[in-house]
Amino acid sequence: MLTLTRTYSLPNCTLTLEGIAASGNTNLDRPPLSILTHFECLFLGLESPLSGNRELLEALNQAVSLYAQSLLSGVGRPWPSEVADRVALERRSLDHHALTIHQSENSAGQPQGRRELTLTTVQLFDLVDALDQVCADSQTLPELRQQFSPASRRYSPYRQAPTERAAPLLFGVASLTVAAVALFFLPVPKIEPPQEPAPAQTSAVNPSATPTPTAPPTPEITDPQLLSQLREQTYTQIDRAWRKKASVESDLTYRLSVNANGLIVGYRPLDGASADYDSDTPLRSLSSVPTPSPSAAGEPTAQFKVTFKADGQLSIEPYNEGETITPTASP
Amino acid sequence: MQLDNPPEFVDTPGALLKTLPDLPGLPAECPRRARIQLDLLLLGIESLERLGGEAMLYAAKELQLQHLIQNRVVLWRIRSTSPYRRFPQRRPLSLDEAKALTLVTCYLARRLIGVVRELLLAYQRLQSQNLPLDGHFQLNDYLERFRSYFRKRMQPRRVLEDEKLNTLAIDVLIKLLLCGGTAGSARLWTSLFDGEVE
Repeated sequence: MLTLTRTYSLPNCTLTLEGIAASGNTNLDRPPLSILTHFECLFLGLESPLSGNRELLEALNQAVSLYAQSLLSGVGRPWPSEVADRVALERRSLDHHALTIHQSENSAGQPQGRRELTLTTVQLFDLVDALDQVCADSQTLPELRQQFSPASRRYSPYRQAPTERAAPLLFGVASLTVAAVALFFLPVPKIEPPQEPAPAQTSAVNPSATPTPTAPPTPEITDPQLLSQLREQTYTQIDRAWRKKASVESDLTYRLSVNANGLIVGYRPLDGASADYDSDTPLRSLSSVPTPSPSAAGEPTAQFKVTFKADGQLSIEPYNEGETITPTASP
Repeated sequence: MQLDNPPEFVDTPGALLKTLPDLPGLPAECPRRARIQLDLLLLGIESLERLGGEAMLYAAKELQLQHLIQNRVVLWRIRSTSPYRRFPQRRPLSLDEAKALTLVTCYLARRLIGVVRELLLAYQRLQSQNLPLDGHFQLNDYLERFRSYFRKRMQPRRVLEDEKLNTLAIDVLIKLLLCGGTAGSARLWTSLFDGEVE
């Protein structure tokens, strides 16, 4: 008979298993520890270790694994009685977990009673990982395996009662009926030809009239010579600043507003991926914040569509209003 | 330590998907909460590491998952199946895509485990001394980035005040720590279906 000790060390928790190898395997390099006599679990900063027999180790392993899973999902479930009778784990705060061990007797056969420890998340994680390592180790308690299964729907705190689920549906059907009845009595609207817009003299007659809530459209630069000059200037400016070419994995497209001096006064992503990855382009650092002066508000701008291509190429084209832009990678 | 099934880096695409446990009775598509969870964990990784987006593609390549995550746009599309997103994709997330995101998350969480541990220890220290969270440079950096990514990408009605976003960011950090462990990917994968099976 060969006595074996296996230690699993993590920064805040050291788990030591003592046992014996089953006969017949004792001459291997690392014989399997198949009979556990005793285990000890020492947490950094806590004086006396947790210790116990195989039943307690198995219960601790299941409890800790189920608890860790519930921390990930937020769904708890009742534990099997052989686990719950020996171990309890409860979250005290975001970062503290209370571990309670009910030991009926220690290895010498003396009753030990109840032991409660408060573990921080990092300590708890080290316990989880030490036990996971024991389970993954085929030479230590070979039949001890981590078993994973999702908690049943009936324990989900997110689940609504059937009546609650039916309520929106019933409400929807009811309001549809009400709307249908109400609309039935409404006359069919007559289609009238559009009227001539009122002459714009009102503002001339009354200069103090309140402005319409919609902002006047920003005038656009239309001079073709200036446009091509701005386009070239913007291209050079962006190309020089675009350093993270390799990080663009697929085309990123933006609409740019450039003022007559060639300053980028604004940009807008044209699809979701471009919105998320604008930090891979130099646009944010290049665009200048326009001064909120009345003259700057109505400053004429040129609109361009800029594409940062995955192959490192840059393209700038005039932006056409109403053009539908689809992500280039769409099928 | 000897492992039963050491991860084999064979050249078959998707071979590692089989390392996740087979769970009976799963729905055909990934549940809503799972889609939110995976996207949030990846957001946490991006907040920890400036090269988050690139690191995810690199991880997908290392893990032979390129057939599922080919490029940035595809990654963005599958992450954007989270209903929290400002531009949510109205498409389901297949189980294989969810497996790929799980493996990428846990691979990166494992690589970042030292940082995650350090930040959680800092959090614990500040909490026990009743100090504000911005008292630790790296932790504050992580929290700021998490809040800013969250505000930029998620629907405005999901966005919370700083304090609640900080709590969410710490919760994500705790989850990433669990993901980075020996059985992290199996546990995360199983937890995605907690409360979703009979």
